[in-house]
Formats: sequence, C-alpha cells, structure tokens
Amino acid sequence: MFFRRNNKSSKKKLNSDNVTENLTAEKIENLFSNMADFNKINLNTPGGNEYILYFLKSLINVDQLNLTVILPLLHGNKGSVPSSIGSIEVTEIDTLHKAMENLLTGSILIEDIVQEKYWSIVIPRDLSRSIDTSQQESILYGPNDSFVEQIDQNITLIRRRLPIAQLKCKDFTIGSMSKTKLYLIYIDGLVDSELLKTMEEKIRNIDYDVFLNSSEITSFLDDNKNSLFPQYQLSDRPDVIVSALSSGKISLILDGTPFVIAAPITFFELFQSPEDYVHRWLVGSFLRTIRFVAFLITLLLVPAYVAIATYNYEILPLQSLIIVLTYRSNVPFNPMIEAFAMSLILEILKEASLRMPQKIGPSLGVVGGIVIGQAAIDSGIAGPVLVVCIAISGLASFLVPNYLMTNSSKLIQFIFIGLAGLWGSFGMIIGLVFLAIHLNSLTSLDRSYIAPLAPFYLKDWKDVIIRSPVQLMKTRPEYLQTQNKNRTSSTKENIK
Amino acid sequence: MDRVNIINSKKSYFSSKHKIDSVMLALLINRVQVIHLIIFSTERLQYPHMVWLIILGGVISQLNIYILSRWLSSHMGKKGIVGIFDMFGDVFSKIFLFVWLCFMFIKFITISSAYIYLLHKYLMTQHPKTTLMLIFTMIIVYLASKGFSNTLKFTIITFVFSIGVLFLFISLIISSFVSVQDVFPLFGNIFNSNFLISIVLIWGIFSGPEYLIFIGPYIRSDVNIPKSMFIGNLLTVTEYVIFYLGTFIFYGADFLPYVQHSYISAMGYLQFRSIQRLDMIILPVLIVSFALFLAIILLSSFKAVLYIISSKNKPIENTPLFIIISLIFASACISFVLKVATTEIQALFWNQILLYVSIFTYTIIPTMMLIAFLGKSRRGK
Amino acid sequence: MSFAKRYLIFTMLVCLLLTGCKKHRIPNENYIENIAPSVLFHIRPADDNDNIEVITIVPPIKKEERKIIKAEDRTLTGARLNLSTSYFREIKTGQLRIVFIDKKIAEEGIFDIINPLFRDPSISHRLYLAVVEGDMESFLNTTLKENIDIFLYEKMSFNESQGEILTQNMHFFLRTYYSPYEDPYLPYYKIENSKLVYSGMAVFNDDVLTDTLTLKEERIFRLLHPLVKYHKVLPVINISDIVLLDSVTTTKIEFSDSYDEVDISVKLSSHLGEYKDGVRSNIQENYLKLEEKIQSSWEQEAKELIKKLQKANSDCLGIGRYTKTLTQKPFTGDTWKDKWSSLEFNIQFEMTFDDLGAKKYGKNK
Repeated sequence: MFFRRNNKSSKKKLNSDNVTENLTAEKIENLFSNMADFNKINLNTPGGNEYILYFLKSLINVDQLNLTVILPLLHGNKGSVPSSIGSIEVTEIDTLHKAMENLLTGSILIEDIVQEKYWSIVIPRDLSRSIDTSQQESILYGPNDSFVEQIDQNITLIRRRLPIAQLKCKDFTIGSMSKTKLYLIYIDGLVDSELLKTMEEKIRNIDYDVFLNSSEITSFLDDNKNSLFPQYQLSDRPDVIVSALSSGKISLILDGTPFVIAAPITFFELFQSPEDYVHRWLVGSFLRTIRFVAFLITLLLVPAYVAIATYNYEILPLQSLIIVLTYRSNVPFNPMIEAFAMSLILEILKEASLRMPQKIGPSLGVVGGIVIGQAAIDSGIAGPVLVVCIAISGLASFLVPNYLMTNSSKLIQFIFIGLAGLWGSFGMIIGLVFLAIHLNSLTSLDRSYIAPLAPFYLKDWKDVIIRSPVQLMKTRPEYLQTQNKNRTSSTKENIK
Repeated sequence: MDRVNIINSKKSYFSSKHKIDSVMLALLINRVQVIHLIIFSTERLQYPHMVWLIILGGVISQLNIYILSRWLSSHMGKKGIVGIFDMFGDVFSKIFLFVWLCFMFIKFITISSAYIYLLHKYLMTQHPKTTLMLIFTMIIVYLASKGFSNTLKFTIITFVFSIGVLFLFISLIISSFVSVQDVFPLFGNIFNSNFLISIVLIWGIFSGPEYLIFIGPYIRSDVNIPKSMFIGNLLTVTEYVIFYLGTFIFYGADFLPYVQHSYISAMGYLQFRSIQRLDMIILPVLIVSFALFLAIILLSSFKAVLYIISSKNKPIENTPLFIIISLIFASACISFVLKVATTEIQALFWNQILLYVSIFTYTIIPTMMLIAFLGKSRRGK
Repeated sequence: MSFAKRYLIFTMLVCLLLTGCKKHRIPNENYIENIAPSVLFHIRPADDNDNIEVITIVPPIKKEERKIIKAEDRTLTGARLNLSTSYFREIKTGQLRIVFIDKKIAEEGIFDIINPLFRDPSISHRLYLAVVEGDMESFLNTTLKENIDIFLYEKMSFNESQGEILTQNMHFFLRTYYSPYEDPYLPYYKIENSKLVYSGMAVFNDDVLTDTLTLKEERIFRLLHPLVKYHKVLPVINISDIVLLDSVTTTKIEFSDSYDEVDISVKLSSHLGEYKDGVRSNIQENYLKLEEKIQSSWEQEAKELIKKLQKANSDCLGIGRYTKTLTQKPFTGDTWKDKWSSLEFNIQFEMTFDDLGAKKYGKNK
C-alpha cells in the first residue's frame, strides 16, 4: 500500500486481425468449431435455390426460425432472400468479423449458394424472466413491477411511464469481452448539458473486459473511489428511476442486470424511499426523521457506550450509570475489545444468515441469536447493556433504504468504536468531524454531495428531512441545474 | 486526497470551479470572528455597561468590513492574490506577502496552542499535549488538502455544529434563580479605569475577516458581497451581546472575574435528564470553527509561499510543497506547545500576543487597502 | 494516491500512535471497573490536629459490600487523594454530587473548602452543599445498606425544582459569596437520634457561619425572598392550623431616596387547603378576617427574621441587588455591608385566596 505500484492494465483485443477478412463457409466452420450448439441446415427449395443456414441454437428462437425463415424460403420462389422473407429486417454481410458478431448476438446467417451472398436475420431467443416484485425495495401501496435482465424490456417499462419524445436513449457498448449494451437515458431539454457531457466522456473512457453488474460500472464512473459513500443510486424499481429522470438526472441501463443506475445523488437522497410518498406527508416526514436518527444511532450508540465506560463516566446521571455499568466488573475485557468482539459476532451472524441454505437457516438463526447472546451474558463474556446496544444499532442500520449505506455505516461504526476507545468523547467528535470534512468534499458527477446543505438551497429543504405535500414541491432540485425548473404548468415553459 | 476522475481536469488546491454563495460568505465572517470569543471570553470587561462598547466596536468593525468587501468585489480583488500584485506592484507585493506570511504563522501557532490549552485543561487532562496537537493539525491538514473551495464550503457544517451552543446557552439563562438586576447598571460611565483594556480586547475580538483577502475568486459573481459581510458581522455582534449579557446574568458581575473561560464553565452547568456534563461534548465540537479558520490560513500561506518563490504567471502547485508547509506549521505548533506555552502564565502571555497581533492586522490591512484604493483612484484621475 | 501522500499519512499515523509510548506514560483511562466514583463527601475537622478529614462511602455503584473510608490531611485535595490508599480502587470525583460540611468548619470559614472543589474541572458546578451538625459518620455507618448517598442525592435533586426543602448548589453559593450585595446561605441538617433531620437554614456572613434559622423562620425567609415564586405547601402555624396550597408570590422591593428605609411588599395568592376550627362555618364571610390575621402574623414574623439577619450581619435575601438601577449603582464594595445593619424595614403582606375550598351558599334549616 505504501510503495509505488504500476496499475496499468494491458489492453487485449480479440480477433483483431480479421476485421476485413472475407467471408467463406469454411472460415465460418473453422471459427465455430467445437461448439455443440452451432448448427448448420441445408435447404433446397423447389424453385432451385440452395441455402445453408448457420446459427447458434442457444441464442435463437427456434420456433420463430421455422415460421419466419424456413417456411418462406421453402415455399417462396421470389428469387432472393430479402424478397422471400419480407417481414423481418434482412442485412447483407460481407466480412467474417461482422458475421461472427451477428451470429454471436442471436442472428442466423443464410448463405445463398447460387448468388454467393450472405444474409443475416435477427431472431433472438427471449430469455427474460417475467416481471416480478422487487426483492430489495417493496412498498405496500404502490406499483410492484421491477426491472429484469433484458435491456429492451427495461426500456419498455420506462417508456410506458414517460411517453414523451424528449426521452432520449443513447447506446454504448462497453467491455471488450462481454460487449455489454449500455443505454444512457435522459430527458432532452431538461437535463444539464454539462452533466451529460461529463457522463459521456466517462463512459467512453471505460476500459475493461467483462461487466456483469452495475456496481462494476460505477467504480469506473466514480469521482471518489476510496469513499465509503455510494455516489450513484442503484435501483430496480421503474418508478424510482422515472422520478429521478423527471427531476433532471441521468440514468444508465446495463444489459444483464436488473439494477439501473441513476446519477447524480446527494447524501440526503440516500435516506429517501418510495414509501415516503405513499403515506400522508406528516407520516412520511416522521418516517424520514426516524431514518436520520437511526443512522446517527448506528454510528454513535456503541461508541458512546465505549466512551462512557472508558473515559467519560461523568456524562451519565447516576441512575443511568448504575444500570449501564453494574455488570462491567464481571467482564474480563476492556470495553473497547468487548464492543469490537460483540460487533464482530453480529457481523458474522449477518453474513452467515446470507449464505446459509434455506432449510437450516431459521434454526441456526435461533442458535446464533438467542443462545449465543444469552450464553455470552450468563458466562460474563459480555454485559447485557452492550448486547442491547449492539442489537439496537444493528437493527437501526437497516433503516437506511440504500443497502450499500447499511454496510458502510457498519464499517464507520467500527472506526468510531476504535476512536472512542482511544480518546473517549473527544475521539467520537473527531470521527464525526473527519466524516463531515470527507462528506463536504465528495462530489457525485461534479455536484456537491451534501447539496441542499452546502451550497445552501432553501427551496430544496422541502424534501430532505420533511416530506412536504406534493403540491408544494413545485421546482426541481437546484443542485441539478436543470434547464427547466418548474414542475407545474403555471408558467409558459414546460415540457409538452 | 481523493482524485477527481474527470478527464482534462487536474487536481488543484486552488481550482475555483465550485464557488460559495451569499449565505456561506455571511456565515464564514461570523465563524471566523467567533473563535476569538471562545479564546478570550469576556472576563476582562468587568462591568455590564461595557456592552455598549461591544456594540460600538461592532459598528467600527463594520467600516472595516465595508472596506474589505469593496476590495473583494473590485476587479483586482476578484483575482485573489494576483490582484495584490496588480495593486501594489511586484516587489512590494512580495515583501507584503512575506510579512503577511509571518503574521499568519504567528496567528496559527497561537490560536492552536490556545485551543489545545483549553482542551487539555478542561477535558483531556491526562493526555499529553503532543497527541492533542497532532490530532488537531491532522484535521486542519486534511481539511486544507481538499482544496480552497471545499474549505470555504465547510462553513455551513461548522455553523450547524456550533450554533446549538448558542441555543443551549440561552436555555441556561432562562432558569429559575436569576434576575435582571445582575445586568444593572446598564448605562454607566464607560470611560472608567478599565477603558483601554476593554477597547483593546473588543477590537481584537472582532478581528478575523482580514485573513480572507485572498478568497476573491471563490465567491460567486451574483453575490452582494457588502450585504453578506454586513449580515455576518451583525450575527457576530448579536452573538457577543447575548453571550456577554448572559454571562453577567448567570454569574453576576462580581463572580465573573474569578471565573476562567466563562464560555466553557457556563456550558458545564448544563444538565438534562439523560446527559449531564455537556461541556465534555461541546468543547470538542468547537474544534470545527478553529479547523476552518486555520485551514484557510494554511492554504493562504501556501499560496503566498508559491507566489513568493515562483513567478506571478506560472505558479507551480504541487503536493510536496503543500506537505512541507503543513509539516513546518505542524511541527512548529507542537514544539511551541511543548516548550514555550506550557504553563498558565505562559499561555496567558501568548494570548496577549495573539490579541495584539489581531488588533494590528485588523487595523493595518483595511487601512492599507483604503490608502491603495484612494491612491489608485487618484492616479486614475 | 501518490507516494508522498501515502508516506505522509503513514508517518503521521505512526507518530500519533507512538505518542502513547513515552517512557513516563501518564495513565489516562478511567475504566469504570477500576475506579470508584464517589457520590457523597463529608468534610469535618480532624480530632486532634488542624487537619481536614474527608469521609466517603464506597463502592457507590456496584453490588458489593459497602463501607466507609476516611482520610485526613492539611488540605482538602490532599485528603481527597489520600482516600485512595484505603481502598483498592481509585476514588474519583467525577460523579460527586453532594458535600456535607461540618458546622465547626463552617464557623471558621468555608471558602477554603469550596474553592478547591470549584477549581477541579471534573466536579460539576451543580454540587449540592449542606451544613451538618453532629456525628454524621455513625449515621452513615448505620444506613450504609440503604444506599444513603444516592438517596440523599435524589432527595436534594427533586427538592431543587419543586420541593419544600431548601437546596443550594456550589454555583449559586459562590455567586452570592463574591457579590457584595448578598450573602450566602446553606441548608442546615442535624443528626438527632441517629437520624438526619432537616432543621433549617445556615446563614453566612461572607464565608463564616453566623447564625442558623429554624424551620419556621426559614419559611418566612422563602416567602420574603424575591426569587422564590412558588410554594407548594405553606403552613401558617401560629394561628389556628391553616395550610395554604399552591401559593404564588411576587415580591417588590423599593428603597427610599436616601437608602435608609426599604419597603418590601409581598403579594401572595393561594388556595386554602386545610383549616381547623374557628373558621369552620361561613368561610366565605370570614375569609377577609382570615386574610388579615394571616397577613399580620406573617408581618410580625418577618420583622423578627429581619432583626435576626441584621444581627448576624448577613443579607441573605439579596436585598442589596435591588439598589442597582438602570443607570446607577450607589453601593460598591463593603459599603452595603455597613448599611445593612442600620436599614429600616417596612414589610407588608397582601394575601388573596384563589380558592376557598368551601361551598355553602346558604344554610339549610
């Protein structure tokens, strides 16, 4: 970590030499040798034409192949392939590279032996799962459809909610091996052009081989890689993404993952959940305030215990001190080690429950939670108050709707425990100050991360800690600097 | 220390891409002036009727603020340190920057040792001062390493952290066994034996904004600078008056001279049902105002050193120079607090020096600006 | 991050952690199981020499067997530090809440006891002080098992806000001590029949105890005091056993031009709680007479109280504060003290009943 390191990755190019190579049947068969799903069909039509079909059976829709390609070819006698198959788009192929590309993305290659031409038709197999409810964020009184792994279906879900011509969708291909499709979605005329330019430049500079999920892309697009705070929002709910788009943000959809990226984001938006907008506005504000309080509890409750037991016993009133610390003398460790150990055990339980098979999960959960906790207290390894504090802070960490923040806040809690054990309440405040300095300088797509706080935008505070009624939220967030700030049609400029 | 990953933009300590707006400017002026209140408190002004002196001091300080705001909104002021070269000429600017650097250095080490002295006395009595000073300088260097505009943006967080203290103080005053007679007599003979000391103290307490002469390029163009700075100064005066009268009500006019650091002792009296000694939490929280001001001083010194060493047009900003400067400042602070400012008598002596330095800079800088402005306008005619 | 920055962070972290490795490392942790934060101190003069003895109960917050430890030394701080030698944990003063000072020390000057407690940054300024007469040590010995220190602290703490027993903490004591316009006072306890009995108020002249007031006098004192505005229960004992509830008082103090005479007028409005015979019938006709009776009885008692206070040369009521007006301050330094003994007082009580508690509109025959 402390010594110089060369991190340049070497670029690998696959098949770079055959971009302009000519196309022959032999070359195709060589290229696709040793592939069990590579099929070749000979067709002899009554009209005297001879066709050979090449395709990868795993990638194409076989039923549609029969209906739309083989039957018209056999029974049509028009003469050339495009005129026989009138219904789908047919493109002519002349290079090996293009043929390979098309075959690998779900097309069939038709070789017209008589005319010595090659044609390609796209018939992809539909592999999507059906639209299901989101596993990560589900709300009671709202839409429950979620994105799937097919990019076209995801676009459909978005377009149905925003049927306007200004919803633009630029496509990119990233990943030298996975050649993943990436769509950049934004509302033209609304989003700030600087944001768009920055995002496009960053996407063009991505250089990696395989992209399997959205988090891998965000690490290329981050402004601050080493920060614990997420600078992009990942969501698999279409209503969240559409609301982000209509506020003036940019969205990225990646093929192969249901999680869509929305950017930029602020720290306070990590505490927003679509459920706030379902309840009455006072109830929604209350829930949001509880989330902020829960975040502070996660960060500060266990370190406060450590600080009180180690340095600052004067802070608590006498009765509370008696409750909190009566059992301390039975515990052989010092408070910092005790807190670290019990937090670590909680993390082990959490990770274990993620990986346990479903059949034995519940019973082992009982073992872990109740037996270990109770046995630890009875044997004197931990005090009961500390176990209660750790349990409360563990539960409170899940209140933040963004799951990435949950684990981040747990890690920050460990750091705070260490600081509190070293310097007491002074250490905790120092930790908070460092955190504040770090948050102050974070940017997400070059916008300030603590946006309505610094720079101070008074109007945006309607949706930060309290959730005002929807009629009062007439303007879009200031930090996005959208071209059109009004949501209502009371002024002349709005999107038609 | 985090790299910005946008293509075509190098990390720079002085990039002025994100600018501050009017609210942040007002709060900046306020926070920069309030740290003197924390260090000096108000024990030396022994009579309640000296509150009019505070208000008078605020009014005179307003004139200084006006001159500084005119500098910041002028063409030359907007260019920051380059504007100083424009105004004073090359050679004189370098001399000025060098002298200014010395003053900033003295202010840095005296302020940091004053805060560490407070911290060591009231909270962390058994920790060695080295550790405390090292933590303090780490915070300052971390904040400064994020860049000038991020440091200035930190004002709002500073304000949020430390405004609660004022409200807690007001809640302390509204308790049962106090009466308004403790602030009487409110109108009295200001020109008493304590007059000179009081004038000196009050003028020193309002100093602070003169260290902001380099922040011109970081202010947004649509900000009404005189108005924001006026509001900031007004907030400071309000805070001083509330605090001053509050300590008289709480302690009584005769007990107050025997209390050291009434700002912190008064906080120690606060008590709620669930938390008792709030000064153990409030004293560390006050570190943010100090960190803000000292980070600004550190970055200004860095800029001054750059412009002294290299030429006006192509300053080479690089990290090793920043590290060297921060190491010099940090080690100077640590050795200062270990050798020279250890005992209480020495700490009081250095507090006096800090006061005199503040008064000197707060008087000289606006005067120089005024003279230079008038000179330039006369030359222009 | 560049190499230089990484190196700098590494160096600073190492320096930071090495600062704890000094040869003469000062111990700085207060692990709660290794300290005994005591709650109650009792300070009294040692038997045979000039030393001060400090007595405390340990352990305060553990479920172990409690015992009393004591230590003596010439100074208070020395005695406090010597306490740790008699116990296996270190005695800490962070949670010190209540200090009982023996009357003999108070008669010689209490400031030298209170000043070290004030200057210690770990002791809160809300420390309750009290003067006690008698053998407190044996009292503490007999009541060890009942957690007497926590009991006394809780008793004082609720009485501070709403109770009838006078409490005084260190901040206000020192405030009145330093001010030339008023003098301090403390609650006064006595040990009678091995019980701690609240028996009035101790009145100080600067920091020397000069007199003690009885319970009755202390009631009138609280009635007269300009800053005490609410009394929950106010028995009027001298005449026909009347108890007033929920009284709200407003005191007005006015001086004559030459500051030789002072008028104190106290307005009181209260509910009639309980009354015994003499006024049983027709309370609604007789209440005016009742008011006059109560007023005159209080005025009489107040006069006697003032005489006592003047003789003890102690302005506990804080009347001197009211000589200060918006523009002038006629007395400075010791001049008020000289004036206090020769002041003439005119005290007037004005009482109204908010609620008589009796309802009888007419006699049923």
